[in-house]
Amino acid sequence: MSFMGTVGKASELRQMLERVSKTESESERAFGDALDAAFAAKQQRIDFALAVKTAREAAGLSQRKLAKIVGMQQNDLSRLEKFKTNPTSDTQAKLRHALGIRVTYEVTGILASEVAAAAKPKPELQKTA
Amino acid sequence: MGAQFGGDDCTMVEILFADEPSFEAWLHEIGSTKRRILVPTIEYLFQNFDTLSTVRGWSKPVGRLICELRIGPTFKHVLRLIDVNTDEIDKDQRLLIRVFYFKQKADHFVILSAYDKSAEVSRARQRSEIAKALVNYALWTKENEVF
Repeated sequence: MSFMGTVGKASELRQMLERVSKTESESERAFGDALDAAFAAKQQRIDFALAVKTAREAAGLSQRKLAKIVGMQQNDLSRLEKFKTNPTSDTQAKLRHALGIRVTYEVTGILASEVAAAAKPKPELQKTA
Repeated sequence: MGAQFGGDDCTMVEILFADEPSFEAWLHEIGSTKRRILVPTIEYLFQNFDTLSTVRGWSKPVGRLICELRIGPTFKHVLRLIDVNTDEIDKDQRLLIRVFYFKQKADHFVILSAYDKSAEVSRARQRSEIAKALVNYALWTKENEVF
């Protein structure tokens, strides 16, 4: 899968990973995909939060004022800008509309159980006590 | 060599290699699980290096010239970096990877070399790996402009 919504050319590191992973089993690929999705979800949250903060400051809006405009609590907006919450699609839409930002954020719902399931069994890693 | 990644509105980060064939061979050698963990972790750490203080905690200077990414010490530790709830994972798994690099400019990171520290934790091995990274640094700076 692509990383962080990259369209087109994959990074050199990703191309390298593809080259050395040609003989991987389906479960090994599934593990990699689950991890990539988990990283991508966190990255999307960061990118969206940074876009909101940057656009808000560029517009000269305080968190309190923007929160009022979009109908949310200032504390929730503060947490969003610190990557601590997953905004609902409705909140995202309101923020994008209010600030005119283009970054899209999708709640991908990555569960620890998905990563955990994909992570078993992994004999290559030493088990800790 | 290298390519950019990142969304339209994101700062683009480029990862370069001082010795790409050696790094690729090593990536093959460490096996599927470790490389599948390592690659997105490296991307994430470099992409957010200037934004998140938690990310900077994963890097340490090695002398005056180069730094190392300290990936691990366990798989759960990596997952917590991206807020994955690890309560559902019964047993943790050890993971000790060191990636030597230097930041060429704001959005360019050059990977010098890497090694699997869990295979050998000795100081002699560590010194030897740092020496190798410094050789690659010297070769890179000789052939490329460093900002």
